[in-house]
Amino acid sequence: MSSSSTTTTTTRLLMLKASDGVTFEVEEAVATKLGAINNMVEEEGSEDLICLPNVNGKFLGMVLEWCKKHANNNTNSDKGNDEVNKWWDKEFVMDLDQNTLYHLLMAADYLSGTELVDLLTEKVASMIRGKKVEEIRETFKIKSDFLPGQEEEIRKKNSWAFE
Amino acid sequence: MAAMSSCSYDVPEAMVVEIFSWLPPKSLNRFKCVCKSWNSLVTSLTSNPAFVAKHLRNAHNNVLSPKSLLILREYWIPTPVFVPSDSHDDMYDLNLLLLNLSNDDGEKEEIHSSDEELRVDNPLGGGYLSGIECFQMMETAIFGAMFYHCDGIICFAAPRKTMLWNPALHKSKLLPLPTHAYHFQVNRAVARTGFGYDPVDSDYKVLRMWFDDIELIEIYSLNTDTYREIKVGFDKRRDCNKVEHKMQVCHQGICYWFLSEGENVTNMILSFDLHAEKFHFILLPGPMKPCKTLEVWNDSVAYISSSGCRGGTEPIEMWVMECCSRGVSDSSSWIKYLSIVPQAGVLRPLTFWESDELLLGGTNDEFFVSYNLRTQKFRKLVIHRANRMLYLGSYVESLVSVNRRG
Repeated sequence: MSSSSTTTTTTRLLMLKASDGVTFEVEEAVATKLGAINNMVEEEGSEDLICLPNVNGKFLGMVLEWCKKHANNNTNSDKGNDEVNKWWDKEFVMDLDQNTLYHLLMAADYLSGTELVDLLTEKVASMIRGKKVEEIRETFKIKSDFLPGQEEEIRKKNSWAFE
Repeated sequence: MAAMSSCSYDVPEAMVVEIFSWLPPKSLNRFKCVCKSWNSLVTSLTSNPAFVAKHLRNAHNNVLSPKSLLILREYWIPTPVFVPSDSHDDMYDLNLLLLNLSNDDGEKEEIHSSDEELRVDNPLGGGYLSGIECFQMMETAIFGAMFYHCDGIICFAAPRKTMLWNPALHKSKLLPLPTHAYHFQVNRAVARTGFGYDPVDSDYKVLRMWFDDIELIEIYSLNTDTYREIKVGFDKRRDCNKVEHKMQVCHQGICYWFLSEGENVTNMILSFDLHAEKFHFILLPGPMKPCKTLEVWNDSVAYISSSGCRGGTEPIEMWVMECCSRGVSDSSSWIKYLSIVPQAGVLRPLTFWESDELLLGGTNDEFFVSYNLRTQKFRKLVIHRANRMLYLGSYVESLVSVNRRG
């Protein structure tokens, strides 16, 4: 957890403005769980309004919900906290549909929410691990660019991965 | 996902790499066929030590995929009525099973498991070995062999041969013969083995100890692919015979064995530091109990024990080794973490399959419960093919190669 959150005053509030103009008032200790915001706070110092032109309000709200939960859990006693966070993380991603997951991941990446990126990429992995090659191409908007025979060759070499 | 076919996403490569770091080796290899760039990305990542290490960390920390246990069991093939009754030799075989446990719904009373059979990849090339063929290849009887697991690599140690195997990569290899071939010609030499990862050298090591008329301790390094004899500083003749055949656990480069003398229990465990190449004796928090295990829990070594009595009202106790001692000092101290009053029929602590889920065994081969450390609830755990179980241990799928160098 970022150590700066415990050394700075915990009551300071930041205003975060999403691309669609929606604003969020958040405690600094919560918002600085996001690397990008932490950097802005450290660089710009006194600036209380932070504009985030690459994230829309819906997803910024979700990212901040996650930050808030983790910031709160971490202020409790250490014991069993990891387990509580894990439990809550599971719930957080359980019912995310693919579209929300994608935009949330892009937002978390843009805001350098490393831990949230971990959780979301794990969720993507859990959704695609059993998928066929063709399904992956479709989901990730990828066209096969292999020359005739190349794909067959790779498939042959890794035949156990297709069983 | 219903929207699956209509949605496509443009995911930046850095995020693709993050996603890959959570995928099992089988999916990664399959996805090489997606396109040229994924093929070269997977190929370069899976041979990149930093990525392999990250992938391994994720495999240990994942919260969204099922956890695995490895089971070796013996099973009897029903003899067809027309087979003459003197052909008893071929009536059993061995299963190596991967048991997948899903912890999706903590509210349910019962934890469901599914198992899949693991076929042993033949280290001599091409194809698979059945359980029994594998033991034949290793020139050992079932009870002469030990299984250890570390970071996705299974070490199969028999008196004459040792094999390292990564089932997720379908790669296995036989280790070279130790320098003292003498010990392989005489069957009576019994080896104690240890296997684990030395974080200082970034190396996987196998320790082999003989103490017959000749005392010998050798250590194998995967990075150099050779054995080396080592000199140790404890009374081998006096102490080695007390080392229990099976190594319990390896944590942070230190292997641990229980010490016992025949029927007499001791209150000691033996540790060996794979890097410093030193043995230490560690005092247990009390007399050793008949049902016991050493486990890695919360990045520490935990000692869990029970008296295993049929009546079963004595608690199962869990002690955690203090971090600072890390098994390298002769005076380690233990902190009592918890005491579990067992449910009726629960006798033996077996292993952790999640950081907060302890698997406990019952009065017979087929009764298991899982105890949750956080909620303190017992849940029934059904293992369909659990009878005649010879080995049970944790397992993660990893990209760690058994052919690594340096």
